[in-house]
Amino acid sequence: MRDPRLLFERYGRQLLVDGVSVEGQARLGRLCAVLAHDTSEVARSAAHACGRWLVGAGVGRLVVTSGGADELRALDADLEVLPSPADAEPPCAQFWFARRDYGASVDVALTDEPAGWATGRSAAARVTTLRWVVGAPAQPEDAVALGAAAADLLVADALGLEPMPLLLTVDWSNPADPHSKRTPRPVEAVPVGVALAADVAPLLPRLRALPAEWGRIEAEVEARYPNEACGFVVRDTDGNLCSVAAPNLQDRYHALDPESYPRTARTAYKLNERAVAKAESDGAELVCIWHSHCDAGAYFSAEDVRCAAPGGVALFPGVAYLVLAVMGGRVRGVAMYHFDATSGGFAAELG
Amino acid sequence: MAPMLPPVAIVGCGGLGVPAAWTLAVAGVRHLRLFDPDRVEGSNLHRQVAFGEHDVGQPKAEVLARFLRRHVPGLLVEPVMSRVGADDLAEALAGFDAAIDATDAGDAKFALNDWAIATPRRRTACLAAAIGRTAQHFVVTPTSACFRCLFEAPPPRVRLATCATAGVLGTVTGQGGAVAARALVRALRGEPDAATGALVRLTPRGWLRTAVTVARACACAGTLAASA
Repeated sequence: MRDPRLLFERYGRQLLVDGVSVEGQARLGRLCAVLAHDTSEVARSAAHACGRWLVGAGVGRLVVTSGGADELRALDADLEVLPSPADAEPPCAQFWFARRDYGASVDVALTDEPAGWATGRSAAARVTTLRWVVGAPAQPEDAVALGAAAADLLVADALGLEPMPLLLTVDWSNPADPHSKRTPRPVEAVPVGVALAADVAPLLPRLRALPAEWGRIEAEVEARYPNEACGFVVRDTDGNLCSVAAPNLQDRYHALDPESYPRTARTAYKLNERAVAKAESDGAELVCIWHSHCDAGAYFSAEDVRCAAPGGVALFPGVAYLVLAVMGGRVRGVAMYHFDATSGGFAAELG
Repeated sequence: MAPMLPPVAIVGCGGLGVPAAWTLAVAGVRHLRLFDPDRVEGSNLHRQVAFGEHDVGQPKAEVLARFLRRHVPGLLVEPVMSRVGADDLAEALAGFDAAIDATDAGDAKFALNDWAIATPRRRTACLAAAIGRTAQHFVVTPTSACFRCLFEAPPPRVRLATCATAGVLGTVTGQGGAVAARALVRALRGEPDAATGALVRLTPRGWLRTAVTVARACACAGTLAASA
């Protein structure tokens, strides 16, 4: 935390804004921002611009995945620049910048629970997608504005001005009608981290004891990074556990219906259920669905709960859910979750 | 290949001028002239993100020029450490047909507007402003309505809140300045943009546009006819 005597000098203009408090400023100071991007120059520039505005606003810790760290450090002597996403302790906000056919997008995942960043079991994350729509892939002149707009999502949230929405679309494609649309986050209690029922047999150790099956899962999630990967595990007719990788259909759904599917494959997965049905029609029994979190912890997120048990009813009763945390392209943490019908929540295997 | 963008002058190297200059440079403008009489202060750093703590006390125009040269090799940048107003604008901007006002002074926007609509009308100007959680910009082109079609004259200075009295978010000036510069780039390329002859505002609810038609009584109506 910055020396209180210097607080007003540096952030005075920000603290004067209606609704901004010293507490909000301190909240920003505790945040760690992880900035990552695809290979496009627009995304790289936007991520760098975003970093500058985050540091300017008072974010205290930063992870940058491609250069520019020295320049950002020069902005603020108190800034802590970390070398890897794996070093980022919560509260943490991850940004993923990507150039898209329609312009560009930024996914922001905010995790503010102290437990469960890299290896935890029940931390919740709030994920927002910013869609920057210009009717064609974003151009260099979009980069700085996109970076500032992405930074604004986190800054306004941390300062207590505006909670991060589920989806923010900024649409410049029609010059006669530029507009923004905020899709608010539904308010819902998300039961996670409930106690695991005693009669549930741990699955994770059994799966990890099968090098070929476990290796197939790890290889798939690392190969698909920075997008989430997904698949499932079945017990075949001989009683053996077999892991199967399935395509992540999320980007396809997002492109067709961004309102219903605001997230991209960077922060969400959509399992091809026909692949599951085919395995089951061959006599196999579905025992586990797995997916990865990229540069995020192995927690069962609110989105995961919503997809696995909408309205508190499990879509696949008795099926476990495996989450793998992939940081910088390597698996850094795993956790297995089981549905608990009594509480309507998910419990992690311990050990 | 995209047409070459003409030189652009930026009046004001603060919260709006920094993202505006950065956007223009990466968009392909090869020659920028930066005007600002001030030196970097600690209270600027939350929004003027080209400046670091070690830049405090140095001229803003010069520090911004160094930042731009570092990020966009080959860029010609002329820092000018002086204030420009209605009296000396024409001389300061000689040789330029495109400019952005990125100051917090209302009368400066009218001065640049008048520079843009002067006969023969060939200039393009973007007038940007920000305060609190809001920002706005307006682009005047040789064939568009002008700022005076919307606001006939600057309000008295005493009525205006400033960033020093109402505060401002850096992420708002960042978006405001960058989107204003983006609008200018599109106008210079001859592409339709939301802000050409229109007021585009950023509010806490998002971006909004107010179209402006040429006012019959406005000075620009005459120059518009002359250029048509």
